[in-house]
Formats: sequence, C-alpha cells, structure tokens
Amino acid sequence: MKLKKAFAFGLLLLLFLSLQSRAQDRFSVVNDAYILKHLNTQIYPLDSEAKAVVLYEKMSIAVDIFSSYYREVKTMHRIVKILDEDALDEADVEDYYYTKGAIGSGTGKIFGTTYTLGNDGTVIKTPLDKSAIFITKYNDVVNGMKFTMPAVKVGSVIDYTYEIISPLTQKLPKWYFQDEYPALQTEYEINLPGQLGFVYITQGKTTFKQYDTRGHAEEDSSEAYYVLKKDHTSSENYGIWCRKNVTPLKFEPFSGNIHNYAERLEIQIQDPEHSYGTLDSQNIRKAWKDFTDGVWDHKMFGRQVVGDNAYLKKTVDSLTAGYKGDRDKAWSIFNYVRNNIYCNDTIALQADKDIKKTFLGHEGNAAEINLLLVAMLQKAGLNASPLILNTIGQLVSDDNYPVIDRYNNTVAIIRQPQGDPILLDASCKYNAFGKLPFYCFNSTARVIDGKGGAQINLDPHQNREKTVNVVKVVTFNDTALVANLTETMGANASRIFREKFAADSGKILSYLYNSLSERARDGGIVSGLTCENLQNPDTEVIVHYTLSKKISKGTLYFATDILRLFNENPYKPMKRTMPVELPWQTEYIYSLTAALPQNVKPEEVYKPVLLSYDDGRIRFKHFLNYDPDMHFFSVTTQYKSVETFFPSTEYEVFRAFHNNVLDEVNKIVVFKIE
Amino acid sequence: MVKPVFILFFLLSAFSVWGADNKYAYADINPSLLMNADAVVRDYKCSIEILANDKIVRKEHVVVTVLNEKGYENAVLDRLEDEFVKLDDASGYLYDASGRELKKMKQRDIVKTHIASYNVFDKDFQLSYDFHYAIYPFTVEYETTEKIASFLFVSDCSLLPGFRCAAENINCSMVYPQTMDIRYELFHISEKPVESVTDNSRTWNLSLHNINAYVRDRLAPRQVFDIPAVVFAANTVQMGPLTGNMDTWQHFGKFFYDLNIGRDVLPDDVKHAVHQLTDTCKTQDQKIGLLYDYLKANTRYVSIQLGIGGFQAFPAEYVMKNGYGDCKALSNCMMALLKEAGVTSYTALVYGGADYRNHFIQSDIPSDVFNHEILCAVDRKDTTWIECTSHDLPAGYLSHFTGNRKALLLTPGGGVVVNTPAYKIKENVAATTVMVNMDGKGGLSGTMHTSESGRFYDLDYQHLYAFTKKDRDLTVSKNISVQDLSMGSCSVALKGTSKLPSLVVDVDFTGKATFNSGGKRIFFVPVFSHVGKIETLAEAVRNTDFYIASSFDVRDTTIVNLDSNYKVEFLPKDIDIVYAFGSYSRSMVVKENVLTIIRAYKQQEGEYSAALYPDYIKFHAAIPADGLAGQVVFAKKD
Repeated sequence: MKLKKAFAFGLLLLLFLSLQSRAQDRFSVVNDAYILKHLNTQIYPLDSEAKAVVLYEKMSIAVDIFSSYYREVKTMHRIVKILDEDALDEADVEDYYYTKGAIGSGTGKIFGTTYTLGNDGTVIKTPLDKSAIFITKYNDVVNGMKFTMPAVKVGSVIDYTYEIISPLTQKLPKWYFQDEYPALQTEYEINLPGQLGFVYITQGKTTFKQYDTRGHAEEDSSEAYYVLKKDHTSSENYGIWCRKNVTPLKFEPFSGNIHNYAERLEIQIQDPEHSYGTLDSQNIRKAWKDFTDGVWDHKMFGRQVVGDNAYLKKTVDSLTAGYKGDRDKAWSIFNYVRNNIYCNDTIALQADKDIKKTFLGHEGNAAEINLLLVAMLQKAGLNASPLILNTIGQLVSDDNYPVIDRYNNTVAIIRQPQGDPILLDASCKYNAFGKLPFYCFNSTARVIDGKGGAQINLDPHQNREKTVNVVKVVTFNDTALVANLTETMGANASRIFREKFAADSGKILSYLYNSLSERARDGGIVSGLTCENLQNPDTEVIVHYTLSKKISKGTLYFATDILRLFNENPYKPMKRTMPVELPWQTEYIYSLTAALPQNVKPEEVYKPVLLSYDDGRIRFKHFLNYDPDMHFFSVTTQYKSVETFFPSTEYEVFRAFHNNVLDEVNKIVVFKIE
Repeated sequence: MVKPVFILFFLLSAFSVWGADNKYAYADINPSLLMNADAVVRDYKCSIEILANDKIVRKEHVVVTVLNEKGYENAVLDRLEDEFVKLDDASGYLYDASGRELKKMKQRDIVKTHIASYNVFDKDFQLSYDFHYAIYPFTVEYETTEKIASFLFVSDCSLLPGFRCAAENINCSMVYPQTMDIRYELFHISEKPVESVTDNSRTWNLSLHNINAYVRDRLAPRQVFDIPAVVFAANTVQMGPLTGNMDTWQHFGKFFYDLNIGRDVLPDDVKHAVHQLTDTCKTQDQKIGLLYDYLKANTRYVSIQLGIGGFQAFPAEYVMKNGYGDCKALSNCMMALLKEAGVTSYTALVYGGADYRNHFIQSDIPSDVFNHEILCAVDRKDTTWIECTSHDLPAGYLSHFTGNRKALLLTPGGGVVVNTPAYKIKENVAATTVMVNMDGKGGLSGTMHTSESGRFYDLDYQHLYAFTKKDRDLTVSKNISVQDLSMGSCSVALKGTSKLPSLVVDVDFTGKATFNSGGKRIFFVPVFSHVGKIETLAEAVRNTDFYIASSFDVRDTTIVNLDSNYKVEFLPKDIDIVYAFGSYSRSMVVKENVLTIIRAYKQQEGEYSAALYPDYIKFHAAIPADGLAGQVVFAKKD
C-alpha cells in the first residue's frame, strides 16, 4: 500500500510539475503543436499587412504581503510571431521596478525561447541565456530590466516570461488589449488579498461580457469576457479579462491620441468598503472628493500653496498697489510671474521643489510656477486654485474614474462670483492672460481646492482661433502689381510666432519668404516688413508687408486668394477609421481689394459661392465682386468651423467638402490688360 | 572681561562679511566680451596629471556668468561617468550679479541617472547638478576632480563650453612622465603653449585670455572643432588590460586591431555553411554577396556595450549563436565569415551620420572621432564596403550614412586612413518621366516613372520598398502636386548594381488641374518631383567661405497630351542659370497639342569663396519654390 501511495504521489507530483513547467493555465492553448502551426503561418486574416502578431500575452498581477509590506508581483508572458524585419525589435524587452522604500523588490524568474523553422521543417529552439539579461540602476528609485531574445529572424516565434516585483501602488499597470499589432489572445489577471478591493474601467468599442467561470466563457466562444470572484471563505479575490482576435490600432493624422480609442483596462486598488467592481454614482462622487483632497494634501502640490508664504506679501502688495479690480490685480501678478520666472518644463503636474525656491531662484517647472501664481493670487485675496488637466496627446480623463495618471499638467484658475472663471498659465512669457495654450484643451480638468474640488470642461471646442488677412492692391498697371498685406494671427498662432521670433525678430523675414512661397501664389518679393505686438502676449500679432510682382501686358492670371487657409486638402487619405480631432474652432477671413486701372478688366467674375457642411457646422463663403463703374475688384473668403470633432463615418463627405473649398480658393481670375 | 572681547569679535566678524570682496561681479566683465554672448567664462582651468597609464587625474575649475535664458545650459554641471571615468570630488557655488555667494553645492547633491539610449545595456551614467536659479546675470562656479583610467578619455579638450560663449581666462595644462611622449594640435588658437621639464616629468601649459564668443555658421566649411580646442596624442595608452601606442593613426588602429584579435572563431556548423554557400563561387563578389545575405538572414542589430569600454566586439561565435550584435560584433562576424571563404577584409572605424562634418579625420593627431564600425573586403584591384548592421543595403553600398568620408581601416599592420566610397553628382541622381493626359475639364490621368540612386535611394528606400502600400502611396503622393490625387498601381523595383543600387518606381494616378467654371481655361502646375524646399538664405552678406553639403542631379521630363479643344495660352519663360556650384534649367515646348517640360537641377558639393556668395543667393531666389511660378494656362480654342 505504501508503495502504491508513493507511486501515486510521485505520479501526481510529476503531473503537477509538468503543469507548472508550462507556466500557463489550462485556458491558454500554447503547446508545441500551437508553436509549429504558427511557425508555418505567414499571413493572418486579422491583419494581412501586420509585421508581427501577438499570438498570446498575459499580464498577471498578484499582490502579496512581504515583511508587512504589500508587494505587486507582475508576471508577463508573451508569445509573438515575427513577420517582418521592422518587428524584430519585439525581441528586445524592457521593464522597470521601484526600489526605494521597498523590501524584496527586484526581478523573479525570467526565461524564454525563440522558435524557428529549420530548412528541414523541424523546430529549432534557442533558449534565452542569462547573460542576455541586464539589470540597470536608472536612478535612486528605479531599476530597469532588459533582455533580448536570441536567434530571432523573420518567421520566428518568440515566447518569454518574466517576473517583476515592486512595492504596491494604488494604481496597477494598465493593460492595452489593442495596440500596434493584432492580437489573437490577450489577457489580464489580478489576484489580491481578501482585505483589498479594486475598481476597474474598460474602454473601447467592444463590450466585455461577464461570466461566472472561464470555462463557461470558453464554452460560449466569447471573444471578450471577464470573470470576477470574491469569496470571503476561500479568500479568493481575483479578476480576469480576456480578449481574442483584436485588430491593431493604426495611427492617423489629426488624431489627438489614438490610445483614447484603444481597447484597454485600468484598475485601481480601493478600500474594500467601496463597491466591488465598478463604482456607483454615489461612490464616484466620494471617490472624486477623496482624489482631489488627496492631491491637495500632497506636500508637493496643495501644501505648497497654503504653506508658509509670508515671503510673498511684500511682492504681492507692490504688484497690486493701485489696482482696484480683481481682474487687474490678477493681471499684474500673472504678468510678473510669467515675465520673471524661467520655466524649465512647460508641462508638469507637480512641484519638484518648494515654490519658495522657485520664487527666489526665478526658475521652476510649470507646476511650480503655477502653484506659486496661485499662492500669490490667494495672497492678494483672490479665489484662485490650482487646476490639473491633461494635454492634447494624453489620454483623456474619465468622469467615472479618478486616477492621477490621467493628468499631466497644472495651471491656475480664478473663480469669480460673476462671470466665467479666469484660466491662467504663467509657465511661458508668451501665454496670454486669461487664455490657456491650445494644448490644454483636451478633456475635463479638476479644480484642486481642498474643499472637494470641482470639474471644469476644457475640450477643444472652447478654443477658438481666428485669422484675418487683408490685402490691399495699391498698384496695378501693365508692369507691376503691388499689394500691402496685413495678417492678424489668431491667439494660438500668435503665441507660436512669438516663441519663434520675439527674441530674434531678424529671422522673421526669411520665415515669411519661406512660408509665403507656399501660401502666396505666383511668387513675388516681400518688403517693408513690420510686426505689431510682438512683445505683448495679451494681444494678437499683426504682420504688415508689401508683396510686389512683375506682370506683363496682355493677360494676367490673378490668384484670388493670395493667402489661403491651406494649399492642399489636409485630409488626403481616402479612408479613415479614427475621428478627425482638431485642436480649436477655426475662423479664417480673407479680404482683397483692388482699384483697377481703366485698362484692366476681368474677363469674367465668378458667382458667389456658399458651402455648408452638415447644417452649418462648417461654413465657407467665397465672394468675388467687380464693380465696372468704379473699376473696383474685391475678394472675400470666410471659413468658419464651430466643430472640432468629426466622426470617421462622415469622413468621405468631410473630405469632399474640403476639396470643394480648395477648388474655390484656387480660383484664378483672368484680367485683360489693354 | 569676556564681554568686550566677545563684542569686538562679533563686530570684526560682521565687518568681514559685509566688507568681503564679491568675486565674479557681472560689472567686472569687459564689455567687448558681451557681444554675441549668452554666457562668459570668467575662469576655466583644466589640469591633467598623468600618474600612470591607467591613473590620470583631471581637475577642472570653471566659473561661468550666465547672461540670459539662452545661456542657461552653461549653468548646469554635466559629467559622464562610465567604466573608465569616475567623478571623485565636486563642489559648486552660485553667485548673484554682484558676485555675492548665494548657495553651495556638495558632491552628494549631484544627481546620478542612467543615460537612456537605444543600447540594451551599457554602463554610462550622467551626473548633473542644477542650481535652479534664473535671475540674470548670475554666476556659477564648479570644481571637479575625475579619476580616469585611460588616456583616450583626455585626448581632446574643448576650451569653450560652446557657441555664444566668451571667455576671460582659460588655462589648460598637462603633467606627464618623462617617459611618455605626447604630441598635440591646436584648433582656433594662435597662442603657443609653454613646455617645460622637471626631474621626472614634463609640463605642457597653455593660457588664453579675452576670447570673444563664437557664433554658429551653418554654411561654414567643415571642421572637427568649431571653437578653440586642443587634441593630444600619446605614445602609450592603456585601456583595461591592454597597453598600446596611440601617437599616430597607424598605432591607434593597431591598438584597436589588437583589442579584437582572436574573436573571429566561428562554430563548426557555420563554417560548414560558409563552404556550402561559397565553394562553387567563381568571383569574390559572389562570395561576398552570398555571405552578406547569410549574415542578414541570421543576425540583427542589438547594441550591448560590454567589454573594455564597449570597444571590444562580441566574438563571432557568440553572434552566430545568439543572432545579434552591435556594429563591431556584426562587422567582426562578417569578417570571420569572409575569412573562412578565403576573402580578406578589415573592419574600419568611421563616424556614421549626416553631421559627420564635425567628426572626421582631419589631422595627423589621432582622436576618437568615431561612433560606428563597418567592413571593407579587399582584393588586388578593388574594395567592397559592407554595412553589416543594415538589412536594406547591398554589399558594396554604404549610403550617405558612412559614405563620402575618411575611415580608419584596422589592419594587422596598424591603422590606415582611407576614403569610403564617394557618392557625388553622378551617383545622387533622380530622373523622372511623366506622361499626362488632360481632358477638356481639367481632369488628369497619367503615369510616372522614377529612377533614384544615391541620396535619393537612401531617403526613399524604407518608405517605398520596405513599407506597406499605404506608406508607398503616401510617399509618392507627396511629390505629385495635383489636386484631388488618387493613386492607382505603384510598383517598386530594385535595380542598379550592388555598389550603386537604384529604386525604380512606376505609378499611375488621376487628379485634376484648376479648371475655371465656364470651361474657358485650365491652369496647370506641372510638378511631379520635388527637389526639396529651397529656403531663403538668412544672411545677405558673407565675408568667409561657404560650404555646400551635397551634390545631386535631378531631371524631369513631363509630357502633357492636351485635349484637342484646348491650346496653350500661356507658358512661363524658360529658365537657364548656371553657376560654379549649381545650375537650374526649365524649358517648355508646345508642338501639336503636346506640351513637353524639361527640368534639370544640379548642385555641386564643395567649399566656395565668399565672393561667390551673392551668386548663391541669386541661385536660391531664381529656383521657383515648388514650381508654383511655372504655371501653364490652357485656353479653349474658339
């Protein structure tokens, strides 16, 4: 009996070890036949042009307790088929872990194999050697782990697993189901001690269906499912999300951040007293309050504003002396900060040092500068607070999900008893008073005031850009045409122009030449250049210059729009999957007037053109007018878009609309010179 | 009795604080040094003491007054630390405009971070410190002591931080054993150093005073150093366990050759494969081509910097087993493959990149101006250069990444300075033929055939040959200035020779010209290949010679078949301009409803006298940007 038991035990042990050595659960389909099948596959229907295909990947997060500290043990398992040389760098793997304040952090098991098909059809396996695994100290708190898979070629399958141990942070690593390459199967799993809870949020077109077990989900052939289990008796506290046959995310121009549309999952550890799983509306409000209060209480954020700042009094008093209104006081303080503090990083969420050092040293990042600004404004008795936001190109914030990594920048807000709030960013001396740079308009922002905060909407819709170009033809005879041009730039264009040229206006002329040759038709020579308001950031830049071109007797082919909003249709591709996202509402006005000599007449003048896109979301007018009695010719062009977001379903019509606009601004009037 | 003494002591101390001399007051700077300057070096001392081949101490003391925002980077302490260079001590001070000390820095305040790079692994760290102060002008003072384990890392010394930085006092000195022999070369320095001998050592000492700021000149002829610098070469250099001589390029090359001896052993299965592939080859070129393909099929580029400062290649055996290596390892491996096949080759050190103008072999004094390694196969009559890190280039073609410059061949006899292949006007050619049919409503349909070699091949290969159709269409469409462009078929083929490959692109497209309503006229800009934007030159006058960086030859022929109801109403004037540095011509001829446009644009690389600069400006102004001034007008026949 003993022998039998021993034999049985040994058998069980062998079976257990065999299962362990695979390092996968029974729901993955990875085995040798699987590898061979994929070695022999060169095209995948999911994306026939893919340079690589993720065959299987899984991130597992297990939270455990080690010497009284919570640790996050992250295990990453990935299997990738390489189809093109451009994807060979999938074999170079990098991750990092925090070391400061952590016990037992570092790397765990790291292993992998490259599979390649030999000439005889056999599978060649090359294991990852330890000598190809490198640990590097990045700085005092972060170490990096890097390794590179051996013997990788086009056609290879790489299979690797690694383990990283870090101290637990509230926010677990986010997971993108959808990324650069198509994925056949991609999973995320968490295991927590029973005393912890979590909230999660998914994003993307696909809805995940909940099942009670994975087995049921697999039986259902579900391609997007999740299983959550919290059992106090067995201390099970885990969740798994699985997604299959995921198409890749492809970059398209005029997209804010394509990852805003990517299928992804984010999880945050929560006090288990909160609802398990997703937050209900009551808990969302509480969660946001906790969030803003937490940010306010941070020593490198809110504490900076309310800390000991008696040193500011003298400066604030001198800046506000003589000003009665709050707005004027605010301007004086804002003007001082933007002109006197050098910004070493125009986008920053939190201070790296005390704002007193920023004040005394006249140097800081955007958060330090704007927190200093708030402290000074509060000293002057204004209702100012920091405002955190995410800039264009970052993931947008989610109203149901308060997480700090959705925010990457700090500006300032003054809330008034009446009227709109005043938004301020003093991180650049060319930022206008009351106007944030365009890149701040991405989604919602949060006021951080230690009283629960508030949400402010900052989407691109609120940003407006108006450009006015006026052309006056002052000489028009049989040898020359001379026109005086005045370009009044929009707020954003003015800011960008000042950043380029305010410190070195000598370069403006060559800039105009180089850009005018794109914008202005038929060449010409620029002279008499002057710029207004170059040093005054609270106004628009106005550029005046004269354009001269030679003409000859006979026929003059006159481009009606010497300056155009665009020279070619910006929406070139025929098709699009992402929406078009623009950073602002656009208004463009162009006016040309010409008093014609008696011997100059237009051969024909076109009828006025009015184009409207989707009930006036975009309007375009193009009026050409000739008064034969006065010998006066004029052109008026106006393009106005009150929309900044255009779904991809409209793209064909949207593109065609802009083709029509381009046809109009490309029009040429023929003048006969007698 | 104690009290009065105490009070007196207090008063004396206070007096010493109030009455202290403020060093480095801004007001003390000679006003002539402020011209074109964003910072002024008040004092710079660099002393290098060579105690042994692997024990060198470098002490630097720098005081910089920063005048404005643009000069801020001069206020930041920045040092590199790696296997051979360690920071032993550092201190710093911050002064305001009057020279009053505001803050101190200690070595423990320095921030040490790993340098993020494409390397999978290296041992390089950045040590930095920033006082975070920006009330201009202000002054920073840093004093550092570094322990350096190889002369290679002290061999060149820039005496100014960079452009737009003037200097009041500079001193550079070197103390070395009498047994050592050191040569030197000065750049932009007219003063002479003072050399002296003591019992056991020699001293080299150079002092400079009142140096005006240098301003970057993008059109200046190329130089290794654009600002005052000195380069040293020693007859004895140690690197790790190896000692060698680096006083000439020959010895410099020998040192690096010896560093990698014995690393060309191949595994037996690879040797077998080499013989299978090449034993029946009739020419060396065939062997090289087959083995290059073998290398590309079995390896890829991965940068792992290990082993004696990253100068030593991974053995060939390692590369073939693991399937990767950096430029040194891949070049060494390819050399081993060729050796097995009976082909002689040598690795070569070179600077790779477009900015090689500041990193090339200029003088007899060797210095480490290299960042890359390639391979050169030789036979009696010819050489074949190979870029072993690329999967795109054929054997024999280097591209502009490493073409047109000097390299240092590493041979058993030592280093040999050689020229890499030159890609000049005959090689950098883009020839386009376009056939267009235009209908009576301005609609266009046409075909475009382009052949590109040299720099045009380099620019377009990835986007046209390697990427997807969508990428190809986008790349090609950028060159076609036609409204409402729709791309049809697009085929790309590789032609030419292995030493000068070319891309041949055939495209068909549709689009439209501007068509006035009423149908009277069609306005057409016949541009089908861009020569690149012709930028207006910033300066109108020049007193020094200028340099044109590239040569090319671009030719277009466009044939437009007009609808029979239309005739040519207006043709722009022909252009024909010729200068020493380039020429541009454009002619348009109409014959029986066929319009033929021929364009030719050539530029010749080289250094040109300042006297020719006005012509250069005229040349730039005359070439129509994007061809917009070349608009053709067709009118409906009556």
